[in-house]
Amino acid sequence: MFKNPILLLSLTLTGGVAVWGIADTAGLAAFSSTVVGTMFKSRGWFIMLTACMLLFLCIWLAFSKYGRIKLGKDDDEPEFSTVSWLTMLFAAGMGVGLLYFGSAEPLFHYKTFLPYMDPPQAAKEALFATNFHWGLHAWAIYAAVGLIIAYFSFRKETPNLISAPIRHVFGNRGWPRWVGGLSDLMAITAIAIGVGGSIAIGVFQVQAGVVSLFEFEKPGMTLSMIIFGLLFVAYLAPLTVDLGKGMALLSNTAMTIAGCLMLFVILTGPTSYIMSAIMGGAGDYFSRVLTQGFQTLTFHDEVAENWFQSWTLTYMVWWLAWSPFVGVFIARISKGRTIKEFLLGVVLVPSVFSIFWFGVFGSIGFFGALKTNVAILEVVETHIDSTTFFVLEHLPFSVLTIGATVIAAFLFVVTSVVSAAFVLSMFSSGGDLNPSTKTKLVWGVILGALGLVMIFSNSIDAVKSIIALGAMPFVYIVLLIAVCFIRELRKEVCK
Amino acid sequence: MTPQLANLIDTLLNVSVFVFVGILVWLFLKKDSQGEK
Repeated sequence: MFKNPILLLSLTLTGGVAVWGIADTAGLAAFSSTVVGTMFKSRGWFIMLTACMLLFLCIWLAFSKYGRIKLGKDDDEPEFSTVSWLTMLFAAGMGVGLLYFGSAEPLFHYKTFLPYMDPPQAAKEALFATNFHWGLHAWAIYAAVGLIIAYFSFRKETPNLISAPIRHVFGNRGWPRWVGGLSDLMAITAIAIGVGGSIAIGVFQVQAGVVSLFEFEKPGMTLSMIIFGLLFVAYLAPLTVDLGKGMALLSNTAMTIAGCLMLFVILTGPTSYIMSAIMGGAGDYFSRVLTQGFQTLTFHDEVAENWFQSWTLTYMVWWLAWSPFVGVFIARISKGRTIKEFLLGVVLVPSVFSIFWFGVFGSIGFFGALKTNVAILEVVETHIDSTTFFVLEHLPFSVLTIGATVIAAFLFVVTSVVSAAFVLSMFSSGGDLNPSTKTKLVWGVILGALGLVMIFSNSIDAVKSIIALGAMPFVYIVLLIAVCFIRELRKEVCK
Repeated sequence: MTPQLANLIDTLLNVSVFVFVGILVWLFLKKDSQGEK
């Protein structure tokens, strides 16, 4: 296990970040915030351009002559029916983030926009901004990385590694060798730190739910540690055995709970208000999404600039951080599909689902802020983790729905960490599809330590900065493998 | 940090992006050599 240099380097790097964070959480958070702030200020335009280019690449490929190429041999058929493939895509997209940010994000933007416009306009813009963050651009980043991994591993039979396109196209001697190694290392770092952040968000979310259920006054770090301990045991155990189908079951259960929750809110909340908001939000989103991708709020004041950096740019980098991990998952379930089918399914379907999700949870939040006297904006200001639960408390059967949300958040994090530990072990052992249990357990512990660091920071902003710091270099890798992919496609069609 | 230093860092970070984009374009247009597949 310790003869592999990539494994050793990646464990040292991510382990070093974890040790630093545990020894000096505030120092790591401050360092990340400063570096990320400088990077975002200087290269914000390039991050947005990258996201737009990847979206245009997906649209162009889907409708070009390359769209007919299969992800696999020409006679390969899809392994899963279209319905179960789309369901699994939902599962990949339905992370704990959707539960956490469902109402909190639109309301946070609403509060930020209020000094600049009247309330209805602020609500409209807030929903648009949220849809923009979770929509086509996010899924185009996932789709592009997933497509490249799927194309090279199924059609060119290369190992399941981020470096595979580089080595396949440019050979394995000289610069492609070390750039390839560096790419794998960056992908591993981005995934590990990104999933560490997801653990922290999961713990914050579960804790807010438990506090809401049992009405704790001051939960403090003890409750966080208890939840983290439970989570740690829950995800470490499956790593010792092969639970491929069991994990899919857990993930589907979490997704079903989330879907039922959305339906429940539509039916028990102000239904026509919610449906109108979804329709208005969708129209607004699709009419402005392409041009919005190029906006960097250059001529606005510092508040707008800070908002743009800590939300829009952070999200784009966040999707990049998760893209090797989600990309591998999407690639593995997409063998036998054409490039066109793949792109339309991966980019469009989950984006539409996100518009529904935020339409439901955002609009019920706006309903509270605009039409009633409930103090929802104060909750967003003081306890953003509790926003979803605050909304559910004002609907019938709140104990049941809050309990279900806590369970779903817990399951989402467990399945994410188990899958991430597998992908990290695979990446760090040269693309081995059956990495050793020891390697998976080591990654499980590192992910836990990274999660712990972010829990200690006790701030969602610090979590976002640390994730962005880990993911930043991956912007370059995605573009590099995209160039390898287009070169290979052109070569294949010319033959 | 002085404004001049901040400006210099900003310029260098952006120049590194231009260099990277240049490398990407070169890699895209580059013909296969014998060492490559």
